[in-house]
Amino acid sequence: MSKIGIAIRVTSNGAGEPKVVNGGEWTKYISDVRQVLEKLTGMEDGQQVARMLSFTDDGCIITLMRLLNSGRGGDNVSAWIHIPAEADITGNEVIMVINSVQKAIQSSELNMKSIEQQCQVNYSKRTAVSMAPTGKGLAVRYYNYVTLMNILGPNRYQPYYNDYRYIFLLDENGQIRISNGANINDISKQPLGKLLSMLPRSAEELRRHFGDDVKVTLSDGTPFDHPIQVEEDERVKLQIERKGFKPVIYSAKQEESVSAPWKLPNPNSIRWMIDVQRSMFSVVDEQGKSLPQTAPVTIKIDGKTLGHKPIEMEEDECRDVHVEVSAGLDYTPSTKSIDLTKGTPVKIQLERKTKEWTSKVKMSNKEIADMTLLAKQFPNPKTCPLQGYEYDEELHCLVYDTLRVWFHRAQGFLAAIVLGLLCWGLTALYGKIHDDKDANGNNQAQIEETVNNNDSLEQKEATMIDYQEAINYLENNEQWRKDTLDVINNHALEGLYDDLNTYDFMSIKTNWASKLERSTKFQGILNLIKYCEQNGVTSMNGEYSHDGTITINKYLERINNRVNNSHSSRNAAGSPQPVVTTGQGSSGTNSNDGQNVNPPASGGIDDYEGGL
Amino acid sequence: MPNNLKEIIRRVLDDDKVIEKGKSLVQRIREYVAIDDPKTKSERQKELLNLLNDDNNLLDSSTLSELQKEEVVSFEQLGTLSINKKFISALKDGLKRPKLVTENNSEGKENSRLKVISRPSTEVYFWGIPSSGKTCAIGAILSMMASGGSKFVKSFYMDNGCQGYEYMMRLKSIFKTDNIVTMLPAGTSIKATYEMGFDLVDHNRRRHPITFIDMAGELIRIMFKSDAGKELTNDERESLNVVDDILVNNRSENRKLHFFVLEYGGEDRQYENLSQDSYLTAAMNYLLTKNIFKYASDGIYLLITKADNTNVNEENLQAYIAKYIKNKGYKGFCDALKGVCTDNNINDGFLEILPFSLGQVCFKDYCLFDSKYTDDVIEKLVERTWSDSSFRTKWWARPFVGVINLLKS
Repeated sequence: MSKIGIAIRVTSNGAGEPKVVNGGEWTKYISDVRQVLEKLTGMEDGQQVARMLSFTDDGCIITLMRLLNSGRGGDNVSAWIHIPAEADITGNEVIMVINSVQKAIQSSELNMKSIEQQCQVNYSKRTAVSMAPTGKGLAVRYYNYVTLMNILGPNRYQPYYNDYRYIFLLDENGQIRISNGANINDISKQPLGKLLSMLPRSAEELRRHFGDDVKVTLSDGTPFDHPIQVEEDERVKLQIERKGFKPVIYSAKQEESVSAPWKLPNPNSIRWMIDVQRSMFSVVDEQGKSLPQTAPVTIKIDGKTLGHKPIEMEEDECRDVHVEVSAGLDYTPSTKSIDLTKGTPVKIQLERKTKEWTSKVKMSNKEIADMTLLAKQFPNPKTCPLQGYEYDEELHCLVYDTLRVWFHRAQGFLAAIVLGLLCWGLTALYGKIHDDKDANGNNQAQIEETVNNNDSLEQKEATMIDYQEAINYLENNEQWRKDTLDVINNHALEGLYDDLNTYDFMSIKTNWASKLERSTKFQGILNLIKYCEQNGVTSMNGEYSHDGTITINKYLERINNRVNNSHSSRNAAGSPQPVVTTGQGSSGTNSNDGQNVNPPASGGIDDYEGGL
Repeated sequence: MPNNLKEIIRRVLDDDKVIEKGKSLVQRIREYVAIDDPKTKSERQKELLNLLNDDNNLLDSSTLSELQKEEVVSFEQLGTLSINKKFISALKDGLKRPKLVTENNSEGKENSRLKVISRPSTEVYFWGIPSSGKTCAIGAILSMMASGGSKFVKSFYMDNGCQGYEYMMRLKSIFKTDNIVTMLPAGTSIKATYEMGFDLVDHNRRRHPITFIDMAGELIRIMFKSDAGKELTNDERESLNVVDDILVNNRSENRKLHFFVLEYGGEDRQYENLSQDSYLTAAMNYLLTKNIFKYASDGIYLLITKADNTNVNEENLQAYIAKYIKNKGYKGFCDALKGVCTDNNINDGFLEILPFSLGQVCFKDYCLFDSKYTDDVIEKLVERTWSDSSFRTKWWARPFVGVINLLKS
């Protein structure tokens, strides 16, 4: 059962959302009709209702439109009545629905209940065709009551409507007219052909009637699996296709005056033909490989040579076909009977013919013998087919191929050389690896030595750094204390005080000179000791003090006095004055930035001290 | 049935089932006024006149004409109201609505569907709900420029090759600056999108090539439906495709200005239970998702149409509008638009709000055009659209032009 659908759209302050009863895919076609209404006149009073027809793939839509006197131009109410193609509804019934809906939209207040009632009616189903248009044009069809029934009757869809998006349906006596200048085709005189639906046959029906693998297509190649609209007595060209056979063109006619499936032809009346072609045969050798393209393959079907043009044969003939295939002198021709209806391509195997080749050959006892070779395929017939031999024209027998023999010998020689080189190379490589290992061992020793050296250097560096505190102490203090000297720098100067206090020049030189060489004050002591030794004073008796302190100026003065006394007792006046070398600049009589200081002849301590 | 006319009218206007408001109003008002008792009839007529006096746009011209025909109210009685007499005369004369499209050209030039804006120009788009006044605003702007009434425009040239040439030609003839009543144009159909190209030359002789794009108000409802995943009809899909084509698929290199048209008082009108700002927000979101603001947008404006309904003088109008936006729930939309301006570096992140009015509108569709607000929009166009100096006199010719002008004067 099938129902009609209705939608009402009010366009006032813009196109409103339609109110739909029995919606569906067809509602996509609901449109804004303001532009359409521009093409009509005579509706300005707001009472007139224009009608138009349009089609979807599943039926037709009849649109009723009325302008609204709402103050805004173009405002309107439109009703969209969808009549499914499959609904078996007469023209008169359609007109009744139209009138009812028209009445509803002519009222200033919409009564959806009356519309819903129209949509409740169930219509029996029929088979009919409808197609959405491909064109976008507009057409008009003027009607009177009789023709309107026909227009909206069972033959609603007409193939020529395909060019038009909308077809206005205007009462030929009404006041609505097409506006001047509007480009609208008048199709009132186009006939309303009685259309029937030609229904397709199911696959099962086709199988039962024609056998397996049969299908039917329309003339444009599309499968005939949906109803098609045909006029009464119209012939439709169908193509009946069976796998492996040529399609048969069949002209089907809708003989009955109602929609019905197409009438099947008597299967015995159909002559199924096969176009026998070379491509249906595959000629191969014993190994199943295709013959070379140069092979002159000839195929004969029932004595007729098969060329590029196919041979047309009926199905019965094809069931037992005598096929002869030959491919020149190298192959044995093949002949067999084949059923071509059982599928192609048909594989035909050809065997090569056996050939012989005879020659003389020298035997181990030096005698000449005849030798015959039998094979299906020889290499180049101009050369000896036996590998490694050649035919000697002088001896008239087969001999070794000298070139080949020397070639093999050369190959062996080269292989030996390569093998020798390989052995030598491997040996050398082995030796090198060992050398590298030794070298690595030496390197390791060197590395360790370097590391040790670095350690001693670092130690030395540490030593120097260790004495820095002590040197700073010596430099910054005029009086050196035993308790300080013994503990400073982690006891680094322990014993120095005793050596100085007891004037142990030897110990001062050997134990402390190198350690405290950067102390200018200590350097002054060393220089004075050197001066003493030059003047024969190598040691002094007694101790400098007993209070545990050494005042450096007084200490130097005491040594200096000791040397001067000794000197004056041994030498006459005018002898050389002592030379004291210090590490720092001097004042007074110093020269050369204080590098060499001549102490005053009187030995005045003040001036000397300035040198320190 | 209510016992006062105001309530009767309100009920008719609010009733969804009433598809023809005018006809229904005539019927209800006649039933209310035309009663046998002359005294009561007179009182009720007075009640109707008072309502019309309070709100000149309570009833549209066709409803009033019908009421006059039905002898519910007379022209003389209408003449006693504080309504410009020109409107009454127009009502008497039965003013005709201007036609914007001819019958064989209802979808633009040669029925061509707009696919691309190929004219090098500044593109100006107007976005707003149906009946918000987009087409009227465009018509007013074109009329002002074409008539030479704008103080910012020296001359105006229409592009006769553009798709909406005829539409533009008709639109620019609607609004007269010579104090004549005109009838407002009809709404734009869903499928109709018009491209109107023109050049305006400013007083510095600089040429501004501009293209106006007028689209149906339904389009922003369609944008909302599309975003909400609702099924679109073929027409709706087709009209959305036009927008996608010109703004996305075949996007031109042209600079663009967007006018979001907000109808003053439009918050009372709901569509599918959604208000004006919901649809404007939906449109803005649609345009955002399509990256339309990201490319070459130079300005976004909020055009408050029907500003004459505020009944506020010009000095206080901006402040009033600002308050209106805040109080009527449009602030969220405005803030979002400001955000768009900031995020996309449009107009230094500044959203400009322009009050707009056609002048006096009476009986809903009669208009006495006043160019005051229109010229403000034209000023923005002159300020913000790209221009070249092809109309300027070359430097070496200026002395001669000066001499000629002197001689002329």
